[in-house]
Amino acid sequence: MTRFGRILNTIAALITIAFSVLLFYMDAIHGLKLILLVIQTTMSLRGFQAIAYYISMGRHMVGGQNVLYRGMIFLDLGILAGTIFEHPAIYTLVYISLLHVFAGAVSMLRANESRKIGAPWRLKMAYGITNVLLAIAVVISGIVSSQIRVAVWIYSIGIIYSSILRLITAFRKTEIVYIQ
Amino acid sequence: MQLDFHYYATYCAAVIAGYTHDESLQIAYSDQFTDCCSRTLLQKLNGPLSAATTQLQLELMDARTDPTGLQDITRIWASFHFLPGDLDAKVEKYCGKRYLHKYRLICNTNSALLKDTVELARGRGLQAEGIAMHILSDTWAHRYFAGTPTLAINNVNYYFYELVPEGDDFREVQIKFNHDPRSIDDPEKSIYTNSLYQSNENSIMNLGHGRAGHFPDYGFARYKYLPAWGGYKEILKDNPSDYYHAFCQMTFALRCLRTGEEFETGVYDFEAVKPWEADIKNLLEKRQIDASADWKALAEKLSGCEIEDFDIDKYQNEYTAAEGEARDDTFLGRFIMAALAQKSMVTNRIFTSGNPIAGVSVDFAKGGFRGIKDFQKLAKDYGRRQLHD
Repeated sequence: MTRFGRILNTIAALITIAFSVLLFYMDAIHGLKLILLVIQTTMSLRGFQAIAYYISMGRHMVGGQNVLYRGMIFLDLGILAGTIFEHPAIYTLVYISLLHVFAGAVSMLRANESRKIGAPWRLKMAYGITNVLLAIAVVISGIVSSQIRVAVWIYSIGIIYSSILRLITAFRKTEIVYIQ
Repeated sequence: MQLDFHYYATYCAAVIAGYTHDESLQIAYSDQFTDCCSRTLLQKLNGPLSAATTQLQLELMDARTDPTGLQDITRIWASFHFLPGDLDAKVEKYCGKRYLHKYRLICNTNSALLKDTVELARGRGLQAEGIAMHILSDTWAHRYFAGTPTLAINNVNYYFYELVPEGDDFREVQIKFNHDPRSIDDPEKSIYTNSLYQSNENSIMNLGHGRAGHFPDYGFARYKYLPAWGGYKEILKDNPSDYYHAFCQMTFALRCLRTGEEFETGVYDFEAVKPWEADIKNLLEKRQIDASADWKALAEKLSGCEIEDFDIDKYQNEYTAAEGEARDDTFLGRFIMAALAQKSMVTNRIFTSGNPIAGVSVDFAKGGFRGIKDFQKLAKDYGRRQLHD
């Protein structure tokens, strides 16, 4: 990674950590609204990103027009996401729990694969199980018991975790030595 | 390519090139082990993780596709399975750098990098020769796909036809792809498994020939399709012919490594292979998803020795039982050293061509050692060779 890339990654990681700390101190409804705003922004950005991808790469590709259409749809969805702004809880909670279930399932499958060939697997399995438990906690606290605040905290923890990974990546040695 | 070619066919090529049974077996083992040496396995052996020559399916699912993650994936797949054909390739129409960098990683045969790969293996032991043979033969099976996740290069669509021999002609059959990794490919019905379409340019599903499934790895496959990068120009791929060329080139390369002759691209040892030409061509034409039994029979006929089945655990105890630097002198230790050298060389060539996709390469001769610690082994090996010289 270039030095500039490292700096960008570090800044991005610090901003997301600050954002998740902010979520901890907000009340539940405002917290969820903020999360929805993030999702809305992400979708719009994905739309712009797909259009930019079409211009830079997709137009050289067989069937690349599909990328352009998808970009336009994402952009529309991002704009339309604002219409559910008044009733965001259920949509946001479902999104958070699905996110954790997916991460957990992948980690558990990897752990199982490692176990089969005798490599270390317990840490990966624990990570997978924790993610699934977090998803269950979001569903129980947010949807069943209406403790929306807990769901917001879980989302924040997820963001902090990925920001820390990003920081580690930014400082990891990546150059490959070449010896003739 | 799969075990049938990487293990048994390589053994045959080595015997024809003049190696003994034991030497041929070690070359063939190293060739096939290139498809097994994953981070998960190295973790189990407590070996250097940077020596990974492949990634397991679930390792890939778990791999990050941020720039650092992509560099790591590219170093593995471009170095060992999709050797770039032309690092200075030009695109006909105007395009941005981002597209150009990926386009230049498209694998093809007879490249300058292939010559470097074979020459790098010289004097580094049978393990290095096995790795080089893996890379050489994969350039024939994997040509036209890139060893980095890229939708714009590696995607294929519904226009994918298999040419099935019928009398003196061929019948075109449209291939049906499914995405269930548990399902077995069915050549009779032309149903094959491929990776799921993912619109994200850098999705792991878009790595190498994942979008065309295992199909390009079958020796009998003849097909035509529209590569994503080809501007709607159809590509006709004839694996029986390509695999035969791979075999003859491998025989030539091994002969060069054994005798000290210089390796040249575009040269095939048709003469030495001629006595077995009919056997090999018949074998390659046979529509079967695993040709191991046929290759094994040919290998045993060639050398008159029994060929043991490939066993991934064969050399693991020797490696784990050795301590400290003695590990580097074990079979797997030498394999690891050769893998690090190959990865370092290919990364350097890609980086110095102005392409950042495989990461940054620092020249030891100019700035000393910097970067990933695992590669210190190379610096030590360099020192040892300097002393020896």
